[in-house]
Amino acid sequence: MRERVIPWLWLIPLSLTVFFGGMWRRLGGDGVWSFRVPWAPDLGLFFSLRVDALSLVFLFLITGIGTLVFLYASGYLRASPRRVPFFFFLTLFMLSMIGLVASDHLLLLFVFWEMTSLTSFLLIGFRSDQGTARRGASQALLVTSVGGLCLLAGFILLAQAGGSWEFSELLTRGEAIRGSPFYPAILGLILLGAFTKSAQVPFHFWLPNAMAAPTPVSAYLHSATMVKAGVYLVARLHPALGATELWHILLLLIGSVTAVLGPLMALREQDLKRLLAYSTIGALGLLMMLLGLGSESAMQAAMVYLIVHSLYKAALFMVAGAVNQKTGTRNVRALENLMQVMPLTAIAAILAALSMAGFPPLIGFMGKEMIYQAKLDSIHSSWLVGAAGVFANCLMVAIAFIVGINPFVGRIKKLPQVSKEVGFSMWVGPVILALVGLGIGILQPSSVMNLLASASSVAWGASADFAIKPWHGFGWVFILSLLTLAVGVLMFWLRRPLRYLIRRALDWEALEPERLYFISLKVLQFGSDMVTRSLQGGRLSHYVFGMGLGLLLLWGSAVAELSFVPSLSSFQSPGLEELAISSFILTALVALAIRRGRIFSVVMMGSLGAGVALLYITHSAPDVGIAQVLVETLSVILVLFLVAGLPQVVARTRPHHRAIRILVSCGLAICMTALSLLTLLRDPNVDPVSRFFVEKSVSEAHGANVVNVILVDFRAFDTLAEITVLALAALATLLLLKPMIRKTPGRSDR
Amino acid sequence: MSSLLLRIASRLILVLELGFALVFLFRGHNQPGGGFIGALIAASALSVYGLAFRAEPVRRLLFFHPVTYMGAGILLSAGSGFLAVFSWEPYMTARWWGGWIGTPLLFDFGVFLTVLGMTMSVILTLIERRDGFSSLASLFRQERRD
Repeated sequence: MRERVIPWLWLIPLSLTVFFGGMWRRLGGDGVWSFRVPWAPDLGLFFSLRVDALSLVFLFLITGIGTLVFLYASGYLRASPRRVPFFFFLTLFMLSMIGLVASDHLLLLFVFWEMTSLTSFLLIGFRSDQGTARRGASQALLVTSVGGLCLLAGFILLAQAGGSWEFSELLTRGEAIRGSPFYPAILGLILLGAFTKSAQVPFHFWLPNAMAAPTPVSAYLHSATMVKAGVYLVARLHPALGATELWHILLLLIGSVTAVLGPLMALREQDLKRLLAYSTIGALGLLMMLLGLGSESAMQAAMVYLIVHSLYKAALFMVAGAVNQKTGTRNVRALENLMQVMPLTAIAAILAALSMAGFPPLIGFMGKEMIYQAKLDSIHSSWLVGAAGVFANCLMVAIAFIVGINPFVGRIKKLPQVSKEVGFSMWVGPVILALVGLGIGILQPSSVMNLLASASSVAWGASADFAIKPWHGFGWVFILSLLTLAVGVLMFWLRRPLRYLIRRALDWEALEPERLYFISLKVLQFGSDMVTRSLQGGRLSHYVFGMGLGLLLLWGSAVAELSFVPSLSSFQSPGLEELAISSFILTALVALAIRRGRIFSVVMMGSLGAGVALLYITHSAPDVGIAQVLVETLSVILVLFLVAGLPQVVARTRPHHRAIRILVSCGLAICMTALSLLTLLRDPNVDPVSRFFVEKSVSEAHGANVVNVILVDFRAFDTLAEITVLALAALATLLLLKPMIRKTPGRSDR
Repeated sequence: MSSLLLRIASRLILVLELGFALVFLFRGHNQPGGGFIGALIAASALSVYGLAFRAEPVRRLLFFHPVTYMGAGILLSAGSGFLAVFSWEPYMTARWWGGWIGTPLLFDFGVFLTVLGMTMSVILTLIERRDGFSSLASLFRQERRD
């Protein structure tokens, strides 16, 4: 039943696309849609959403490409038995990604940011029976969540410096934030988060390993949307943090290094998906570089290239998945002349590759023209950055030919498993994406251009609306474009010697920062091993001693801080019943200290507790008294069973250990006594918390039993947390006890 | 270990105390009682019953697995707070109908279920352990000798 819904799930992202389309029509250029619900207003926490043109660009990417990916995945995973959880995770990812680009509150954005990391983990590790999938998943999770923690720290500092948690206010306070002494820390931490998410060098290594995910995931998360979250964040924060020396240096440096190294590393590979993954790294680097240039035209180029890359890369990934399913291989050297077998996929692939290479009149040409124009315009760009960009683009051209064109043309070669065209759901996605790329390139529809222009003006921070100029005439830019194509095609021609050269030129293994990841993982494991071993030696007495020591420190510091000396004169002489109860408690205590024997001790502890409960009841705290009696009863039963199960051996303790333990116990007793006395003879000047509860109990919570009202109304949230902890503790106990039952041989008790 | 006395008494205690537990649960908001105390009363009655008759009858009486009680309880407690959210008030703002029934009572019932489930799941598992009873008995004998 549930599985019959799957082929129709693409209607969800489609309807969202239509919804956002309607929103764009209503908002127009610089309109903003916002939504705000108090979440924890006392903490400054609001569930606030804000959609403007910049968000809308990403929203269209997420839902539009999402539609095609959902369709594609329903065909790709036709045979998988775990389709239902897959689509659940995919939908969850889509929703968190939508939340990420639509949230106005820094913490809300952080929550969604982490949710995309988590869903990415689940999706990469979807084929959990494969070791590569599991390792890739945990690597991606660890790298992005370390970045996420940095991001959180950066957000907190940003909120301190800017005096607000919300973008709508922060973006207008750029001066104050840039002037703050924390500015370098804020920028560094936030960029760390963005760089890990967007797979910039040196954090890029998780992205190729994430290719163990099913191909729809690679097309969606790891090329079109999630890895662009870092780009989104940097673009979003540009008005608040941008246009400083540090901003330009960091983004240009990391961006251009990534832009060059990504495609260079790609040329080493022969696996279609890994090639695409490395070229995605390069494209993300290019985007970061553009954001670092800090000019209006660079911002526009970034927005256009964002669309360009998502369109062709998602299409190429879907093609790679289709080819893999039909031929059984993803090795580019084994693939040739696929045009004969799968013509529709081939058309999509070739169009997408031409867009990637930047041939006119596809959208990719437009993107490249704008990038070159931006670089020529920019004052911050040195010739080195420009050269890096051109070189990266040449490499991209070569990769486009290797991935998108070469496998589909040429002589007939024996394929491992020749078959006919893939099903409708699997070719329609790439074909539509390729046609959209072609259509935008030729027609340059004003709605798309306006959206991109407004988005870049939002990211730029100025309200001036500037139009996008995709065509720059037959000038320097055009010559550079032609040069890029020529060099790129030449590189493709020489790809075999080039691959050899790249592999030989550098010791890639030694350079790979992934080694650092493994080393730090080892160190972490070793460290936690040490801590666990030293803290959890397995001796009950050690644990009790540790808890006692901790309590002594806490209570001791509490006692030491109190300056108030109680006067004993306020004591009244005890009544008869109090005397009786006290002597009962004292008798139990003395008996407990003198006699040994487990059952005896347990029973004596119980009677001790019962005595204390009696004291509560006589002192008008019946609730606490009843609870105490019941807890004592139940714990006597429980502890009796536990004590009976413990081994009979008694561990010997060394004399000096014994001495220390006695000291700690005495210290605890003294502190406890002091604290109880102080509580009893409370400083009359201090206003007790309970007064509020006693006064408001009936009037605000309609309950005369203050204890209960506190539990279920005033402090209900605490209670909820407590019962959750209780349930978890019970589950853990069950897990600990269960094996003991199963292992025991012989007849069962039931 | 289970004497005739215990078996007869535990039945009476069970009926009485389960009734008590419910009374304590419902009157908790104005008089001594509440979900926590009610659950402990019910749990101690069921434990005594379990000590007399072993775990199986108690499990049958509970009908659902104790862990189900915990889950249902947390759901109920957490869910009771959501009623306020639907009218745009902060989570867990109390709602009352007729001055007696309200979300706090629902919340308290959730606490009741959770605590009952937690106690019973642990105690029943302990009772079911094959050597649970015998080792307790041998410990009794040994300590009586000492």
